[in-house]
Amino acid sequence: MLDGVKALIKGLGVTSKALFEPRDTISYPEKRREYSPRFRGKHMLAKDTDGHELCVGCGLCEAVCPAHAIRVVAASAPEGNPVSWTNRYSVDYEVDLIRCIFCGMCEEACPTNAVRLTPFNELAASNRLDMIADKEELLHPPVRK
Amino acid sequence: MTQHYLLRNRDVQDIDQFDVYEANGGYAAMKQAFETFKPEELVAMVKKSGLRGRGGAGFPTGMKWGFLPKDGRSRYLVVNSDEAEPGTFKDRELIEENPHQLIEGIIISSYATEASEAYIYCRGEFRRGAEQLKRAVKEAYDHGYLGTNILGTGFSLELKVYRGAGAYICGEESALLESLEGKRGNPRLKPPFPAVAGLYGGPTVVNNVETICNLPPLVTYGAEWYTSMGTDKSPGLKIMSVSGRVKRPGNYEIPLGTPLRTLIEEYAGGLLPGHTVKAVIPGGSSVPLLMPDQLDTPLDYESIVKAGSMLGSGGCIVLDEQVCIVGATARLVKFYREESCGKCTPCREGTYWMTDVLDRVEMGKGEPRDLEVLADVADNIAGKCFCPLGDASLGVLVSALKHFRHEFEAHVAEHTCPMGARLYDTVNH
Amino acid sequence: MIQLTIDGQEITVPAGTMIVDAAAKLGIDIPIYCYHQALGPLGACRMCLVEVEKMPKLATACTTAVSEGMVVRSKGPAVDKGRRGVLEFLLINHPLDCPVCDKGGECYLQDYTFEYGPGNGRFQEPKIQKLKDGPINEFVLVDQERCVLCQRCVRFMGEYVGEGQLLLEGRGVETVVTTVDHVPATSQFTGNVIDLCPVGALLSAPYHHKGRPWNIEREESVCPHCPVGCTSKVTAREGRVIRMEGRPIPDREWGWLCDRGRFGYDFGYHPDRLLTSWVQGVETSAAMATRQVGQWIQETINQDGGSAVGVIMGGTHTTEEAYQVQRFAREVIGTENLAISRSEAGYLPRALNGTFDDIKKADMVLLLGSDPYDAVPVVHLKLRERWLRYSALKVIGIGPTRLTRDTLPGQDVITAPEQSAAVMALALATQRPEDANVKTLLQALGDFSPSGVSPETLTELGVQLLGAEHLVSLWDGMDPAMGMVLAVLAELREKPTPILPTFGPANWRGWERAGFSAHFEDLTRILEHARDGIIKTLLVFGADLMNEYPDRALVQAAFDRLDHVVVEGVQPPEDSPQVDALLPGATWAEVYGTYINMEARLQVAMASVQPPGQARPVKTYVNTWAHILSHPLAWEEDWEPFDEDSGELLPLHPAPLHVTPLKVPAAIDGDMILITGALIWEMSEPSEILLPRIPALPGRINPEDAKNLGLDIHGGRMRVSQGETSLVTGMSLDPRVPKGLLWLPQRMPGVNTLQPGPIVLSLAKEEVTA
Repeated sequence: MLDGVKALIKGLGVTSKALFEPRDTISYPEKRREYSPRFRGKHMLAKDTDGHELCVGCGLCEAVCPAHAIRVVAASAPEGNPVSWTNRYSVDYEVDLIRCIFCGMCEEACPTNAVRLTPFNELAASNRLDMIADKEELLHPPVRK
Repeated sequence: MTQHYLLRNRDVQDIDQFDVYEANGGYAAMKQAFETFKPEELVAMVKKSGLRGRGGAGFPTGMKWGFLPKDGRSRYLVVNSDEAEPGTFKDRELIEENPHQLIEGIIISSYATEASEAYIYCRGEFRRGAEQLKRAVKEAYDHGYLGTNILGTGFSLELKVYRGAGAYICGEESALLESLEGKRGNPRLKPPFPAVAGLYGGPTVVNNVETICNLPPLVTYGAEWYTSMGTDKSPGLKIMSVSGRVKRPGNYEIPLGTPLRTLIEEYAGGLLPGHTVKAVIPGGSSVPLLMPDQLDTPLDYESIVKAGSMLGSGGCIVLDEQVCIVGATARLVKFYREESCGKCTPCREGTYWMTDVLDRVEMGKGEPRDLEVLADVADNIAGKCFCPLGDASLGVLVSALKHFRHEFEAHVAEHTCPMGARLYDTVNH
Repeated sequence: MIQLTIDGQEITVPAGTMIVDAAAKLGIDIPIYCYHQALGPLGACRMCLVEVEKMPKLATACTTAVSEGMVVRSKGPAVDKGRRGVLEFLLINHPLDCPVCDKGGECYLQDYTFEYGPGNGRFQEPKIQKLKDGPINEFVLVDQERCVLCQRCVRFMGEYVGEGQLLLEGRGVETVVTTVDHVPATSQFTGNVIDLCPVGALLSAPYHHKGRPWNIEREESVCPHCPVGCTSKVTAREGRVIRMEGRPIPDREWGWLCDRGRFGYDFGYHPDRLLTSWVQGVETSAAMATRQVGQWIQETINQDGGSAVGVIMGGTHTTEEAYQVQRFAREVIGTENLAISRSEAGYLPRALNGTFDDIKKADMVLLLGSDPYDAVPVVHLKLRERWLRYSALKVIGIGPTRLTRDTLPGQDVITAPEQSAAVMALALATQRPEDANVKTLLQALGDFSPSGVSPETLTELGVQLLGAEHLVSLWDGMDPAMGMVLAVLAELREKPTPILPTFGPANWRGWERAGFSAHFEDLTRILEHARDGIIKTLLVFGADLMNEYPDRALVQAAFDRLDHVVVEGVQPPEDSPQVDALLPGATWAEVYGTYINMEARLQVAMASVQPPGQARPVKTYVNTWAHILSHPLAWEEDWEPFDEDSGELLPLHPAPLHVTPLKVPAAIDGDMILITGALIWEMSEPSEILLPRIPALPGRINPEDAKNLGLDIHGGRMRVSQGETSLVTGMSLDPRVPKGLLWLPQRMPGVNTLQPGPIVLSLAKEEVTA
């Protein structure tokens, strides 16, 4: 009986102690944490200062991706309308964010520094197809859905 | 000074005319050869004389002729008159001033090698030389010294003059043959050597102009006369072209073994007042430098190799104290860059690289590691090229890096050419 | 034989072998760019440096022949430094294009740099700028900056093919590969330079920027367009064929392809491709269409018996597919009306069939009827290679036009049209008039004397035919009587007399093995029976009879009379209104199977992609029909197209003498006579990539005739009339065609409305008004 009371007091002690300690949780989504700029979140495809895409569709990211999450289809640039800075560009660039393990190897492999992993991590979607980021989506910095 | 033989008629007015040449004893050796020698006796005599190819490599001529297979195929004699080595201008004088001497030599050589067709491959830039040759050949035809059944001997020879398109590499015998066949002037794979499969696949002798010009006096005076001059292994006479800041630049015919100092100081009259020798390129732009303390080197094939250079084609370029060695090297390497045929990788890319680095160093934009890069690039070219042109581009550079490293270092350290970039105008690069 | 040591391993090789080949036999890889076994040594790239004992400098393994007791080291500090140096040189002017270069990932410059090259560069100067993505022609792009100047392409086109349309221009570091006079290369072998190029300098234009080695699949395959059956590799990405490459096989094939085969892979993606089923002009579901056809077959069998069904095989079907169709026809339908769709009447018994190895041994080559350059281009290359290696090779062309050419010189016996077989027979008679077989031939000919061929020529030809040690004949099958003469020739000569049939669809030997009759008479009989109402239902697999059969009128009549015409294929045939059911079929890249080529060699083609739309392999249709006919047919997975005991493809029967009997050639009168021949560019399987290269002026006419008819030297369009029918087509001037003849590609649409023989030629209307 006495042991029970002891344990109760001990337990209440822990509770009351924690009650006055600073909290570890935040009330997401009203509040958000600051992430390290090196956090590897959703991908984006960068452009150069002239507005040309940096991605040339070389497919090295596709080759290096351990999760086979990337698909690149390249093509020759249409005459007089360079999409990228050279005569080859990616027509399709898809990242399957469900498969992606955010290892960042695509970023590392990219010879033109086009693929970049942003700190953006709010990837939830209600539908598998929405989790496949196409090129149009990747060309713009990620925003909350 | 010794007597001139090949250049003996240089002061005779109009010696390029057939009549004048014949009046001065010309074509006598040819007749003598027809009358007193059988072809194989001539070859034996040339072998005995020890005459060596005067184009640069110094290969014994008699031995070269002996390589011709005796299989009854018709043979070709090709005279290499594509003299484009910077610093060498002996063949030019021989063909421009005294073309009949060469034609006489060709007839004797063709008779000796039993060639029925001969070609003179004349350097593209030698316009006057080619015109002189064409005229002289026509005169020889008119007098029955060329054509079928020459002088009733039963020996026939067709001689054609072909003008190249201005590529240095066509001085290399197999590239010359390609060019003569109308193809791109790139060197061929050897073996087979031209003696076995040369022009149009037939057995071919390719000889330098000066080598061929040695034949008439050789026939006249005999092999013993020839071996009496020069050294044991390098007998006979050699025409040296002296250029640079000397009093009397020009061609001089010297017995082999004559010291370099004698050539520069006695034949060429020494340097202009107030100038001293900084270095000498003894055998055309492809050979390493000799330093002033090596001036007593005898000019024969063996001694000069021992001294670290080569006799080459005999283009003796005297560099005086005002010459920037870096600039001179850069200029020479640039020549090889321009003249590389592009066939093999080390020569094509290496000369391009070296030129760029040397230009930069000369312009004062060099870095200390450039010298190491230069040395290593040179090492990567050396002995790895398809033909000798790649190695030729290194001769001056490697010896300059060895003997004049301080000048290179000064260019890098001072960020400018200490000599004021006088010899090599970098602006017009 | 010479013994030498490479890297401590001893090997014995024939004299004259280069070190690099000897090393390859030991499995030692020596890096090479410029050397190619087919082209011989050059020594330009200096990549293959090795150390040879007693040699003062490093030697190039590709130009140094082995010698007795030679000791070679392919590794070591000196070799490593030499190769590193050469690679550094190659890289200083090489652009950093790897991310955008099609060759990236399958490039020897990348591979060797990774293996032997320097880790980093020391070159700081500006790189030389050259032309990028310039055209060699419609199919090949050149990036001169990436070129390592190995000269493989230049030497292949100039020395090997003999059409020197590529050359090196400029000197030294400014040297570039370009075309002569900067005009597009017109050779039909240009695509091979893409395979030959060790780096990304020569690229396939249709494949440009389309794939990378890691996102494509490559399957071994066989080119399906002509009976040569060149070994190839099919590149597919995401279910679509995007490239064809040659597939070398050591000691057998160099992997050459002609441009028609290399770039014609896109026929499966032609806008006209049949992707849905049609029944009597109405698009319908695959199940409905298949069932409908099954019911038609059932009805025909019920009413007129199985023999009222005819089955014709064509297209690019595999041996296995043909076998299954044959089983269906024989076992389920119960018909013997099985034939192969073909354009030529000739037939060659298997026993006389030669192989490509025979070309390598030949001392005389007989070209009969068609120029192999036009009909089977890669065989032309094989012949030329033999000629390059063996300069005494005799080439004799016998036919109505000149058949030898600058790249394969020889002599020609120009005969009047359809007299070649008779000329051959008479040539044999000059030598062996007493031979019983020859007598039979002579009896058939009576007192015929050929026009334009002198008795001396006949005697000379006879001497050569019997004198040759290894006589290889290439026969185009246009004149069926030639088969009999060739059989006699083979029997007369006691020496090897192999014959290579250049006719027929790519896999006709395979279909024959599978049980289809390859005899032209059987095809004609089926069509005639159809015309006469004996055959009611015709099942056509892959064939475009309207264009393939030499007499369109007969096909037309047959189609008009038939109750049901069912066509399975990749393309809807021309005049499909008469076809009752159109069933979409699969291309050669969509099924796995075997092909048997003109040398009767069995080769496997793997499936690379899935058939699109409703298209499906033949077996699906056949199995469904068998089911409908209540006679289920199990697909025999283990059926092999060769005899299991002997391993032979087909049982060898003794050569039958009477293939098609020789008869007196009919005299052809007329100012202008039409002859036809094979042209690889005019075969079926239309390709969009090839469009710019399909000859605009396919007809060939003697320049003098052209002049008389008012055609200028560039050629032009003319009207070919024969009785009621006429055809307007482009004509080019060809001095190889004798006067009074007009040559037309036999498979060109519309040519089979005309019959070889007298025609009237006139300028087409637009030419006249112009």
